[in-house]
Amino acid sequence: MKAIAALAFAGVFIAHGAVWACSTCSCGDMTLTVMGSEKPYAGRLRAALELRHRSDAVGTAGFNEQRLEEQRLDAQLIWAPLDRLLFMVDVPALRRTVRYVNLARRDTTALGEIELRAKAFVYQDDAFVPAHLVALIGSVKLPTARLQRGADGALLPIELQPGTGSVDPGLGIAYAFFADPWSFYASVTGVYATKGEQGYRASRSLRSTTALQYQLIPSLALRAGIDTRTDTTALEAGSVAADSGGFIGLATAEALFSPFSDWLLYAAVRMPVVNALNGAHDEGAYLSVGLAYDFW
Amino acid sequence: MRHSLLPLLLVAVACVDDGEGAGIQVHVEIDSQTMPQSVATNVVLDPSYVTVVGFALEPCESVAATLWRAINPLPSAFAHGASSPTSLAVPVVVAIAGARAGIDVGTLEPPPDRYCAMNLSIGPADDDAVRLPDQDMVGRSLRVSGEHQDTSFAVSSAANGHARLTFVSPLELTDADASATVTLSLDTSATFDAVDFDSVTAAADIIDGLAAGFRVSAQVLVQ
Repeated sequence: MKAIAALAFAGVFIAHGAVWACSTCSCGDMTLTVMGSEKPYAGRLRAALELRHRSDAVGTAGFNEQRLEEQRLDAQLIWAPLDRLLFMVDVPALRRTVRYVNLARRDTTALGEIELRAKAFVYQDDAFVPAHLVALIGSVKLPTARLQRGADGALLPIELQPGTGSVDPGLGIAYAFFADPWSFYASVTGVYATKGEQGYRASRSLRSTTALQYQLIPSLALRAGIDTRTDTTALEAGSVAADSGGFIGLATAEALFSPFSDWLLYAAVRMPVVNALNGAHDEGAYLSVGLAYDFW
Repeated sequence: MRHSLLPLLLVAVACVDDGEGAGIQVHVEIDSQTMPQSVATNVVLDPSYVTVVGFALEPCESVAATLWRAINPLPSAFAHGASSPTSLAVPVVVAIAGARAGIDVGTLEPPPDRYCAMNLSIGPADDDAVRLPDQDMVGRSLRVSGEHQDTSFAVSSAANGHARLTFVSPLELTDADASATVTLSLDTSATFDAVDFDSVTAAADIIDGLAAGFRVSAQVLVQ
């Protein structure tokens, strides 16, 4: 009975013809957009909570493998002070479980490292209903995570730390195309990791996102694409970290649903399809669900 | 509602170590008590040293692996230079004669398995070596001096050596809370018996003799 009620409840939302995100109406475009790929307008204020899960296995099975599972809750806020400028802040909380080859298991829960991002739109073909937008992205990850220590006071290994303790700037470029019901988004961002705690320096990274989106109905859109990441090797105590660096390509599928005006629910899965990471390193699927709200 | 959210918020902001499972641990030590207090009777030694640079647990081989090793023309070697869950790359200077004390080498965190032997690698000490007696020992795997038949001798070397020490019975480590202590000792009573101190192979012969003099015992503490 509850299931039927829930289906009916969802059906009302889907069948309702005027429940698209209202904030996009002011741009003359009903496209639902995920956090970070929205169109700007002065005063836009948007917040989101996103829950992500990922797994990672580094090292040789049965010898020195470490298996990581991470759940991450990101609190995100986007604010556009100007028509062509967006600021974003991302505050993550992390839960990490690492299983070691000797059957040891360690869990940590902590505030992660805050990331600040700015996106300046340097080109758009129309002031009111742009179809083509080009933006420059600048970001910085701050060492806000508190270092984790064991019962003996010693620092926990880097794989258990909620951050690298480094200031990591990033620079990128993004392109967006809107032609209702289709839209396209592509971005390339380089992240220059600097030296952090315990002599560790994370991989310097070039990341790309390419996504094509189709708006099925005003309240529902589907999105698919490819994410890639090319990493340099990481450094541990000044030496090259084993099984670090390389290339990975992930196929992404995402659904966006707006049950009410200004509300957006989204869920995504990212599956590794090309794994050319160095050494013994396997990344699992990334799963995420999020809820965004447009205040203005 | 507000009260129920507060603990969640605190968990998110505070950094919490949620505990740990230690997993399988093998403590490695060099025991001074089991070392003979006098060495071979045919030599009188000054303070003398050998450097062990690697300690590696060896899993018991399957029949197939044993056969493969028998027919494999390529030599097998135990890599050293970097620690792993089954090996410690910790240079330790062991006194052959002179002041002796127990040494905590470190703790291995191996995967569940049956282990049949401990492999020791002898090699040059670096300046971070445990129990480094002086800077003169840096870069040396062996430094021995003393008297043999009323003639002084001094031998030093940077050569490598290897010792494979089998356990009396395999070390069974299968449970997550298993732990054991592996104790190494050095019996030098026969080390110098066949050494010609005037020979160019004296250093290699002493290293071989020392490698043959290492002993191992293992005690499973929790299984």
